[in-house]
Amino acid sequence: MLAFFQRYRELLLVVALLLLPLGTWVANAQRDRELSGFEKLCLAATSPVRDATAWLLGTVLDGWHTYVDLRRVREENEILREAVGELQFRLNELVEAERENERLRALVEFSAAERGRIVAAEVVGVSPSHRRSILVAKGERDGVEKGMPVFTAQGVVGKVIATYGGSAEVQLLVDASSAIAARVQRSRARLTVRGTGEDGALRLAHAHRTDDVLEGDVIVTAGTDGVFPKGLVIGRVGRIERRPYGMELEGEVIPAIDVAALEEVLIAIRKDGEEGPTAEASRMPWAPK
Amino acid sequence: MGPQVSLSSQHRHRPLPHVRRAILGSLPVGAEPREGRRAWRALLWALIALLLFQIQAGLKLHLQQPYLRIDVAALVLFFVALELGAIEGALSAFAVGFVADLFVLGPPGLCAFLAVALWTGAHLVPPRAFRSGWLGPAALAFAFSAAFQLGILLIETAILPAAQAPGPTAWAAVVPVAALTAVAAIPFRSLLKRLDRAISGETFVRDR
Repeated sequence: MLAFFQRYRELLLVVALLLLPLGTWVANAQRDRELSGFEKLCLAATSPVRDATAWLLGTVLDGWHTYVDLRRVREENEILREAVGELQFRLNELVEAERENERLRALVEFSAAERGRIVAAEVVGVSPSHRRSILVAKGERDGVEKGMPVFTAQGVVGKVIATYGGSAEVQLLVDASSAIAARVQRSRARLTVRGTGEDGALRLAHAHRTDDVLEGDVIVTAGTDGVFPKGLVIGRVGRIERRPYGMELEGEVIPAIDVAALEEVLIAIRKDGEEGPTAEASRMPWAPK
Repeated sequence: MGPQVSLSSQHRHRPLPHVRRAILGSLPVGAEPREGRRAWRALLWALIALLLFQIQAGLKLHLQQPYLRIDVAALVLFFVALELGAIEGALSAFAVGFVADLFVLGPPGLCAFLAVALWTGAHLVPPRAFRSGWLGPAALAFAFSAAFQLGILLIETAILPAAQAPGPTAWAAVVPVAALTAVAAIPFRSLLKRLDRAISGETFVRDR
């Protein structure tokens, strides 16, 4: 008997291993599955492996998704940068157009208010020398002549000192050799405004120590120098120095225009027999013939 | 040679008829004296199956795709059928089936029965063609997986009410899962063979 079991042990084992689960299954086929304590222990003991695997894969997937997201964000960022650049360019164009529009509108309004012919000229160059002058894109062909006043809606710019075919050189009021007959707008006191060679500063000249000039007073052209028409704004009085001695009053004038920011200017054209904006000045006895 | 029980290369190429019939009990008692002592290792293969099932459960938490799955039970059974002896293999197949039952959560015993039945079927057919190269083992793993899945699905469909029976997705997943299992079986077999050698310190070749 023992020999039989020993001889057929494998066959018997397999049969037993087939019958045991088959019987268990048949007996429990219609019942709900309930895990035994041993089965629960097996699952609980190895559940950290499941958790660790889930964590590891989750971390890897998170990293991958983060990487993919970053790549997408990067691509999106590049697209947005391009869009922002384009929009910035467009915005800049609009701002430029708006400012140009404002300047031109001011020039048109100003020229309409003035008598005589006034031409607008674009600033196309700045003197490279020590002289403070600019080159404008209107010249002899446009009727521009030496000595004609140049200004903007904000105030006096200077005067034409040389003309060429299609351009003219304009001496700025800040040039050290510039001198403009002027008045204090409030008190009508007469004086001269001279350039200093510096952008933001002019100086008072020929003002009497007792003249009624106060800091902040607006200085306008007097129209008596044969160049500038009367009433153009030159600037505002800055610091004043009243010394107890001497005849003259010393002080500075802050120009109304920003000479460094000039882009367009107006030139008052004076033709023979035509009353231009400088007609009043040209009738003065000391006006150049 | 020590505890090495490996058959010679000559015997591997010419399997002895009595060895081929080992499972039917015609093998003289004591012909494989060491195999009985290796039976405890069924617990080891069951533990490996349990860990693999847990790993797969962890993976499935993130990979919800029903077709992206490896049939762990078939994978271990494939190794058990090819590499282990009759006693150790039968016990291991049962233990692996028992573990599969924990995760399938069907009626207890179903997977264990199927596992032992598959293992027995594999032993009754001379598996020499499935041992060499990569195509034979891969085909065997595919067949194991397909048969194991189909067995569970067929039985559950037969006994469960229609509402609880496996859906079309489960049926459709049989072939892709079996294919993935076949792909994974080749490196897995090599890995478990190394583990087998490392644990026992001997090479047992069930060459029939």
